[in-house]
Amino acid sequence: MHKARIASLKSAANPRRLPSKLIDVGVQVVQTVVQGLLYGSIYALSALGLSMIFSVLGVLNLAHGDFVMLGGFTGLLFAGEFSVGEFGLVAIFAILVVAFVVIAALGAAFEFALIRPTLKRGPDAILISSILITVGAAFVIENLGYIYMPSYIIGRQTIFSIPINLNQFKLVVGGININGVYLIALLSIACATSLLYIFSKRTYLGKAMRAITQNQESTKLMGVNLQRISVLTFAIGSGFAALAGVCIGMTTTLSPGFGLAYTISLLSVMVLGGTRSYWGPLVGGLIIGFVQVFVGAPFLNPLTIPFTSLQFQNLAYWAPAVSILILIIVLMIKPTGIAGRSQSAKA
Amino acid sequence: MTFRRPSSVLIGLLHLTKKKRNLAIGSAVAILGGVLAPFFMGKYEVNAVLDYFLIYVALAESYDILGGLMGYVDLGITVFYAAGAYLFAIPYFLMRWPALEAFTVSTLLTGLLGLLVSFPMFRLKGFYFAVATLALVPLGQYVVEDPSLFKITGGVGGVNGVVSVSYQDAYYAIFVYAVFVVALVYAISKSRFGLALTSIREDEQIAESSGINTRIIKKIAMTISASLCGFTGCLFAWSQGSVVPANIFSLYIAFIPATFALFGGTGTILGPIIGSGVYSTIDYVLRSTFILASPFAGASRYEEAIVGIFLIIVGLFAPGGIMQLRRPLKKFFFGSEATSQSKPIKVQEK
Repeated sequence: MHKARIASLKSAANPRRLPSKLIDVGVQVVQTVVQGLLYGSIYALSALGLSMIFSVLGVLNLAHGDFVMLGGFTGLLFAGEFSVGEFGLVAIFAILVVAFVVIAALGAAFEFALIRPTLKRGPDAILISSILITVGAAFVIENLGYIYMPSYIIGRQTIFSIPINLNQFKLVVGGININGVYLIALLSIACATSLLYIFSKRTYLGKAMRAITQNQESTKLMGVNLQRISVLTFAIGSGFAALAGVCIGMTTTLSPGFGLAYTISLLSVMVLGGTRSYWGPLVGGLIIGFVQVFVGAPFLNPLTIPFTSLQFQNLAYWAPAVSILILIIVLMIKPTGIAGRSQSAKA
Repeated sequence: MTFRRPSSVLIGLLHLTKKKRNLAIGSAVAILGGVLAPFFMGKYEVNAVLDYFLIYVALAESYDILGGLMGYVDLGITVFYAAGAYLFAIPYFLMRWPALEAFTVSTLLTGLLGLLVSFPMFRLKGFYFAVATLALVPLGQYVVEDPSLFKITGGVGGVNGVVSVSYQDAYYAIFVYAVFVVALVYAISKSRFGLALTSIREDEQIAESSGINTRIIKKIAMTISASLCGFTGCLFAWSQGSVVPANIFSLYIAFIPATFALFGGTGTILGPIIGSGVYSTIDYVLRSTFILASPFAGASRYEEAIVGIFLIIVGLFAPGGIMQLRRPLKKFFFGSEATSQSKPIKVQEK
């Protein structure tokens, strides 16, 4: 489009024109940064819900990755059923809201049926019974998902990816070409996290939730209804998982079985960032997202790893594992996580 | 144990306390049943059901050293199981080592791996420990499936070989080993070392201040647990002939030892056996010809979901596992006087 103009601008800025190879590398770096930002913020969004549930209730929800998956499929079904993909921005907003509401309701029902009976036990017993219950739920969801999801959806579409037509929002600057869906996903994630921040700082319920993370007994004495808070926490946490699932579905593909594996990445995010602060999951998620994208990024190909003859492109395979290595190293240095306050690593 | 006539075991049994007599009779019946089982079952039942049951028993009991006695929820125990399987399969199937040497080397190396892993891991407690150990499982899978190691580990396909042992011999080896593991965990739980482990579970600081070197005790416990798991992995590879990373490193398998132990009841010797037994029974029944002929023929597709529902039920109603229900059940079946002999079971609650 404006290629000639941009080229003329560039030559005006740099009389000795930049070698085209360097420009290519620059473009790749920018695109990788955007991708890392997107993956990182999706991680952050879903880890935010998980860490909220863990810090408020002491429940380790190992089915959280499955809620992410279910949220993505809710969006997919909604988009496929009404073929809203043509409506652009409004469609995305509708899909996000529908997925949030449906999965939040599911999360509330999950809390009411399975988590509430265990909340009266001691902290260690809550942890163990929540592991049992949520792993059980994850097994059930994944098994049923494997059996029913493909057969239900394949009649309608073949790729498990939310169909959105957003070509008019494509951002093209120079050779940099950023998909509109990425931008919209980033924007909605930013909106959602800031809404949660305002909710937890400004409203009564948000303050009560934060108070419970500090001292449950005295919060109870102040007249806070713990049951209401626990339902609310689960609903909001699962709703955020659903938003993350929709973002995954918009930008990449979904599969019915990625729940537990995704939960493990979320756990690394959570441990990396620490669970007690709002910023922890955000920082951890962005770090893991960037690392996953940058390790083995194509522009690193000509380089070799220092002190070895290995090429960086061999590392692409290791990208997901590097986040686990980072997790273990961080735990060895600072067991409370990067953004965590200094306190004992006792759950 | 006081034997008035050392030559006669039967008369000796009469002089034991009721609890010890029950233990002796129970284990004798279990061992006899295990020895006789292959005579009444076909190759499929022995190789695909009983072997797996015993392997799960061994894994769940080795989990119980850390998770039950010491109170550290170690979700990554299958890493050592997989490491043992690989370290056995590579020398045995690919390099044609004798079985005994492969067994020894593999078990020792896995124990060493457990010791190495224990250095970073025991900086953590509770939830963080559980998460960090669980993260080891996918990490192990990445290591094994690394393309540059393809010539050694076989990548996604894993290591495959020809099983050179008859299925009865393999079964007896696994059976002897499972009995050994159960006996070892029982001995540990009754020993001074086991007492140190339980005191760490109850309160680590008090344990330390009363003269227990908790660092060394924890490292020893993890090393023992890892080498037990490693040997289990060796037996698995030896009897099944193939080690496939997608199966052995799957998260479903990773949760198996911990969930079986929790299902039966952690910190009890019988609990992990019951947990594994219930799972193997479900597994067998779902795949049996009886079900396949019935309208529920497709039920084996739902195996994971059925196990999940069991886990949910246990988590909801018996967080201490099935063993926690022992007293109410006894009361229900035998009346209230039967419970007077048994002590209350220690459920892991603080």
